[in-house]
Amino acid sequence: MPTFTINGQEVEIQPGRNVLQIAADHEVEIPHYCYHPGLTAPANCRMCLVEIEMGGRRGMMPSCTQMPAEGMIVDTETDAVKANQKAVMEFLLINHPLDCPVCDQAGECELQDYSYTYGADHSRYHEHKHIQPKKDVGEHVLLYSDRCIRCTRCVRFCDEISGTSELGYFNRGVHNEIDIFPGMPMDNRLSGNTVDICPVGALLDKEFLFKQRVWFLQSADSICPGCSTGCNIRVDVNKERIHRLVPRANHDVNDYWMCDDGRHGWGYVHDDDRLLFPTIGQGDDQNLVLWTAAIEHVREKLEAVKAEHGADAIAGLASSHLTNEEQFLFGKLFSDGIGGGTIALQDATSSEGDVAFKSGFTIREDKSPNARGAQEILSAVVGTVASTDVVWEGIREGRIRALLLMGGNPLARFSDAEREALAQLDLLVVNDILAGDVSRMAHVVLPGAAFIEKSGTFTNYAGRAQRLNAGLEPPGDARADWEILRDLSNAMGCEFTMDTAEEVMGEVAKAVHSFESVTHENAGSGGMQIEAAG
Amino acid sequence: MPIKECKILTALQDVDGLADIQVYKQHGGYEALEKALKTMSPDDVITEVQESALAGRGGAWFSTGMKWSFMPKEPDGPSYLCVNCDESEPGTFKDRQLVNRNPHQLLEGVIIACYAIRARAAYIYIRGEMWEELEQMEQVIGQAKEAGYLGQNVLGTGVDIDVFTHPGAGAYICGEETGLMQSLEGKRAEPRVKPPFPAQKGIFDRPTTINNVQTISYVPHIVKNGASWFKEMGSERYPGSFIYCVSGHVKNPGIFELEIGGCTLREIIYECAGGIRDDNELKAVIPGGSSTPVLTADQLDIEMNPELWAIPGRGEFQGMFGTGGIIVMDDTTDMVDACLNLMNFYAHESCGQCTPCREGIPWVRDIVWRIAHGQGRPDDLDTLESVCNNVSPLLTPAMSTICLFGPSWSWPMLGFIKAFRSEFEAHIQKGAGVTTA
Repeated sequence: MPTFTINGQEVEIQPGRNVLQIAADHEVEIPHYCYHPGLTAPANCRMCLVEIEMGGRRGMMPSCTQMPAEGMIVDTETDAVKANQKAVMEFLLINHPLDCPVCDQAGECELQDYSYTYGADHSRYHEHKHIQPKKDVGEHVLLYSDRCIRCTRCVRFCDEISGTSELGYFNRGVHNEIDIFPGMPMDNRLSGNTVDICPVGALLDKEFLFKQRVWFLQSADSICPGCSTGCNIRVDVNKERIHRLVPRANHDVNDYWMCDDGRHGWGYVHDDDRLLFPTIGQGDDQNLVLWTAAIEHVREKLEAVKAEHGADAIAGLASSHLTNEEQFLFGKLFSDGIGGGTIALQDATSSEGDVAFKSGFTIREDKSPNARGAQEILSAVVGTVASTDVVWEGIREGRIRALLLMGGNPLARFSDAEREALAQLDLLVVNDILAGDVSRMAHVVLPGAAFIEKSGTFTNYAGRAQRLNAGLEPPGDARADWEILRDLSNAMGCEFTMDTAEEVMGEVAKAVHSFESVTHENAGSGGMQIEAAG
Repeated sequence: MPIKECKILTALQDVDGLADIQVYKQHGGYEALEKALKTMSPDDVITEVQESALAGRGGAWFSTGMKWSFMPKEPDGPSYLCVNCDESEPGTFKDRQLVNRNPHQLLEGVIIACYAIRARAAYIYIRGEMWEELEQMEQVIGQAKEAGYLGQNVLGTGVDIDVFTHPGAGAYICGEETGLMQSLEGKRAEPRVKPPFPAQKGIFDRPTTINNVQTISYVPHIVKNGASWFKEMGSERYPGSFIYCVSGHVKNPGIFELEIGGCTLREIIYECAGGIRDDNELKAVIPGGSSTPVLTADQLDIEMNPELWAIPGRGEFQGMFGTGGIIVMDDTTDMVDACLNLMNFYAHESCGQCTPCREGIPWVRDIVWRIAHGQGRPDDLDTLESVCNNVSPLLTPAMSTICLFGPSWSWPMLGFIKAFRSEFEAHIQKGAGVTTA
């Protein structure tokens, strides 16, 4: 392997990786603004200049565009490099409003951080600042141009990733500014990413604006439940509330991005209609009960239906919004607890089809995060996953007398015909997160947890098992759905002893071939591919 | 010693109707083209130009033949020639004269150059303000096409060459070679990061050579008369002639084609340009376009040979030779005002792409404005020098900007302070009583 030298350390050249990236691999931080690993590099901020010696010539070069060559000498901490960093920091701040106390970016701002590390402690600037306007550039995004350092990450994002090119670069010199074209807002469904990649507080998320100081936020790594792409995300929470979702980098899934639908799709988690307590009884007669009473009640009713009509009179409508672990326990409840019955998987496909962007990033038509995992695991546990038509027909024809309806999908809607069928049942158990007309029809309601309130794994459309971690407690008495299903299975005669979702995954691995090597530890933070089915 | 005139490019400039191909041919026009295409291989032409030591007359003085030799010999697609006729450097007005008076000379050079570097097409990027020249160039291209010097199968050689004109839209930065390419592609004229160099990735990401109008105009003469003829004139490293454009406080401003190294700066000003108006005292001279650091009256005896200058020749004389745009200022000139005028220009023309230039030049301009308006501060000169040094120290290759626009204002600014510090200090002291800051 050919090598070159960074700060006296001999390092290997990796094809396609620039000096800045290889330096980072060896824990040499080179500060930068305009460079972003997901975009082309214009080398316009001039912050990442390092001294490079090659063929007897020495000079300052941008490390973000410089590819290493055999024998190249790179120095990142010379006086000249430091002087340039200090100069660039000064240039970037002379026209900046320095309004950190009211800026959302404060605390995670590269101007602040680099200023502290590389900048000066006073200003030599005595002139009038060139002040640029604040602008509304799209449904989700504001642009405070006065804070902008014109790194053009956002412009390049719209050119290269979303392919929608709504943002442009107008005027010249110190007057140049990022803007939309007149009357044409930034309305692509990836627009929120421009806020994430803005290294300063210029691009702002309207939903997050002035909501939180970022240093109060705590984070949980999770998976976006909005579609089967399974974007890796970080959920920022404080005081029992989500405040924002941001993407985590994963080159096998979502690169550095997520869509606005997912980013802003978490409102239901804190909806006033969240189901908070288990209840028994329908409509106005719904009575709050303890979990033990609810589980016991379901057991009694299921046993009664089974005794009178046989196990085949019991059906389950599984939900691809639940985790792999939960699918397993749901299957086990039928195969081992009830000893039969029919399971079908509810469909969450939207009519818009897959929406793909220039970079290949795709918002998928399947608006659930775990259809692939549900299908694989349920069919392995119960043999056949029936079509939902079979279940609805069975109910209408009176063959199916009891239904366990799994929810978790904030967008789920039932037709009048389906609601009429549900009304015929002897027993309707709804395990869901939001109250609605169907939960009001239920004989028993079991309140479950939203994606951020439990641990587990989702399997995305491509068969990648990815972990979600709990960042919040479920509200009220609501519980993680896998705990509910474990207790229900045990009430029906199973003997499950797992205390964590991770332990449940251990059982999944034993029972489902394609999940053989999947553990929470193996899945790590970036997920892992399950084995090809078959 | 009288100044030796050396008219190569301007020899025919007083001939009427030279834009007509017949008139041009009566004066030997297109003979070089016939010679090159019929008797020389492309590499022969490159070798001839390389041997002539022709250097880029846009101000960088880089070897033209060497630049051409970087182009692929067996291109896997189209290569291009680009002619920079976006002449905008304040004080420089030679290209306009060449295109205006002798457009076929340029076109003949363009076709020969295309043949040599195996370019499928050439783009002549003409400054938008030169509308007459653009229209005339279009006519000239039409005439050459009709005569078989352009288009498919030029002179029956099987070589296809097309030449297009492209009007600039009015920005100084369009004259920077990669900024020009961006502009030609219909984008903002933001200079590109090099590498890749134009010979690797130029116009439309294809190998491209970009040359100045004056440089290309020499090509027919070198091909016709041979490299050794060219080398008999001028200095050893920089043979041939050069066109000086003298403007400012002189009696006889204009353009003068002289042998390189054949005279001093003083001789050009006092003999060619007739000396200072009203017989005033000369105070300052900008020797080669507004980006070259200003010289003082005691520096005029330097020979006009780039070899002797720090830039481009790495000579001992601490000056930059530049484009030949000589701007003369007499003793009625307020040097702070003159400096402000230039800094206003650069602040207006910075493309704003990279941080040091976008933020630096308006800062510098604002400080000079304050000094000129009696609001100077004692630390202003230190700040000016420091800001400029953070962009590019005087006459050094170090620069923090993407393109040479940064040094194009930091060097003259540092040059003004170096040459006329006492005038700046006087303005600051005079203003100290009324300053409000």
